Amino acid sequence: MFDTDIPFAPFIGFYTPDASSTTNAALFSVRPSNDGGGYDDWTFDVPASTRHIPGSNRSVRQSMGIGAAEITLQVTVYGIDQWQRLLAKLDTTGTLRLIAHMQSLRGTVRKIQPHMYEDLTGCVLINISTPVWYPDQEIEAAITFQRPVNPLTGGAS
Amino acid sequence: MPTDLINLKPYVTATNSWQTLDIISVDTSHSVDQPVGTCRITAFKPLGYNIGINSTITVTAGYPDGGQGVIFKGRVASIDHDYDEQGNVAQLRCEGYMRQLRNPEEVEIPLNYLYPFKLSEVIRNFLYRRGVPTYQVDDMRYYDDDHPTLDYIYIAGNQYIGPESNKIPPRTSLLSWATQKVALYGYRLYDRPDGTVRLSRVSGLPTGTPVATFTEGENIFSVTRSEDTASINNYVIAEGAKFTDSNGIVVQIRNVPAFVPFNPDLNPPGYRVKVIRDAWIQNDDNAECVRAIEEIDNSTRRYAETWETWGSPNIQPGDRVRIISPSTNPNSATDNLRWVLSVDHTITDRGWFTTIQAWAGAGSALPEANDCATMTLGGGSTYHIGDQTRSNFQNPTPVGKEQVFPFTVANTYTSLSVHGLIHGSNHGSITSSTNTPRNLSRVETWQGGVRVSSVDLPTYFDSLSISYASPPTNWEPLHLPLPGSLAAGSAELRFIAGEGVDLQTGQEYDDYEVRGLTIRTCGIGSPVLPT
Repeated sequence: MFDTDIPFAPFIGFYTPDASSTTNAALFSVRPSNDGGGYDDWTFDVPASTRHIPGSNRSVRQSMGIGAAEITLQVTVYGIDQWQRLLAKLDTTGTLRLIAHMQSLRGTVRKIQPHMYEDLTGCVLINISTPVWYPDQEIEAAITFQRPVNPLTGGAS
Repeated sequence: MPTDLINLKPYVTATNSWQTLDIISVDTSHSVDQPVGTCRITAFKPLGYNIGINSTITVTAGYPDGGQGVIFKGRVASIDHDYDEQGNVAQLRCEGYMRQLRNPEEVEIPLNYLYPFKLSEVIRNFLYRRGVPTYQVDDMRYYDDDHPTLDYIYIAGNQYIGPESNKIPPRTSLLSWATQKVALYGYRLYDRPDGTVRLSRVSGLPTGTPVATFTEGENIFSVTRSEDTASINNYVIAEGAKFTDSNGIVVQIRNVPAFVPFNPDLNPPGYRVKVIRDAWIQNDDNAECVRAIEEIDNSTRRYAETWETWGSPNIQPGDRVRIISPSTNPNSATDNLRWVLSVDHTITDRGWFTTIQAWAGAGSALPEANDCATMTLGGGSTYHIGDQTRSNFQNPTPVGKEQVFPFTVANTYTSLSVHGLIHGSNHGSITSSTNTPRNLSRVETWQGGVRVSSVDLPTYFDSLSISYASPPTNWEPLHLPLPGSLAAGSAELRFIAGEGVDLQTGQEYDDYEVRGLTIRTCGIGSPVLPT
């Protein structure tokens, strides 16, 4: 769906502090995460412990809530400026804008002609890894976000 | 045997009414033997502008589908601010409201020595005085039904003890004083997790309906039953105040058992002595109660169960619970009702676990021994001491100017006194304004040929026109302390006529009569020990 050479949807990126801040947004395109063309989704952590009651077939599981969801995107960043903007946003909270309905969490869907995007608020850029520079100033990397999840709404609250 | 997976989603909040802490972990501890409940909270910073030392904190834990409760309520006592690679966190150490009794008063607290106070009322007064917000104080009662007219436990009110001994000295911690005094009678004063300061009985075998049942194989992760002999005391002596009564007789409040049963756990010799001394034990009933409580709670092998279950917010120290664990107690099908001694909650991202310790006192109170012995002197007959024939006396002819009564002294005693009836002593010798007696009529104790003490007899009216022939008409009661210290063994009591010139009769010796004489020795009670 995404073209690795030309940004397919030019407004995909990470906007801080929110989606209205377009002047220094870190834009990128998202590449498939495997050879089959699929894209990684959010993973969920449920801190829990299970203990067994001796002398019975009973176990007691205690779930202490749901931890932050986490996603790692394989991205291509175009140009040194965009790359440095992305670096500056490490460990900050903002809005992750992706193509609509390409991941499982709920966000605000908006149309920016000609594409449908989905804004996911409350995302924290926690990691930038495996950067590879190419002579035409394209940088490929893996970037990781976390976002709190309300299991009832699928959103951040 | 249940086969299921219980899926719990516990939650916990810590607030001070305005703000909620971001909790990482919580540990609480409450016990009937730990008056001040504690709570340690690890939380992310910032804490909030109005969370600091002395802030109130309420920790609530529960489950979304039911079952929640306050597991700590109190104030912040200290805060540690930590900053390292693990993050920027704070550790709050909090204490329950019993802490408000900890700091001593600078002035003494007098109790009215003329009228007794219910001990529970004194405790209520302390809690009110120190602004404890919520408390529930049971009226303290004797352990049995043998005190129908004195079923409440009173302190003070012994007029012979006086104001100096009926006050809490300055700089005494009310917390230490109160918890120690109520424990004598089988009660405990302690913080509860729900924030209520509680005074309740925790003694003997609990009765009534338990608040919960914990059963091996159902709701217990682990259980330990400990057996202990270190705390056994089966020969208990309770000693209280010592005072002088209106007759000048020294009274030592003291209570001992009539016998001590053999306990193989304490062999040899089969018993262990414990002396409980407290100056606030000011009457015999209180002394008996203190001794009985110690026998009920600590005269047998101590068993205590400690077990872990999932978060149980509604179990409080002092509650009655049932613990059924055949693996640790083969008799637990019937022997399972316990007092909850302590409740500890631990909440982390690994779950919420509650550790409970429970116990029951399985001993029984022994009958009390008689702490005083009475010996009749001279068969209780009437003795006329002096040198005159007095027709108005019961025995007109005197036995002489001195009468000796032998008696035997017990090994140890706290007071010795002589009792009976008397008339006419020291009247003529001292009522005459021109007579100077050489010495008064008196009682002397002698031992081994040595005079140990001498006590003047009281002055009683004597008239030739009054008949003393039919006691007790016109006789007076005699209660006289015998000071000094006598060794165990034989001794003598000598009634001696005083010398002087009696202007009424012109005689030189005082004449008087005594009858029904007894020697009372107190503080001698000792039980029959096992052989």
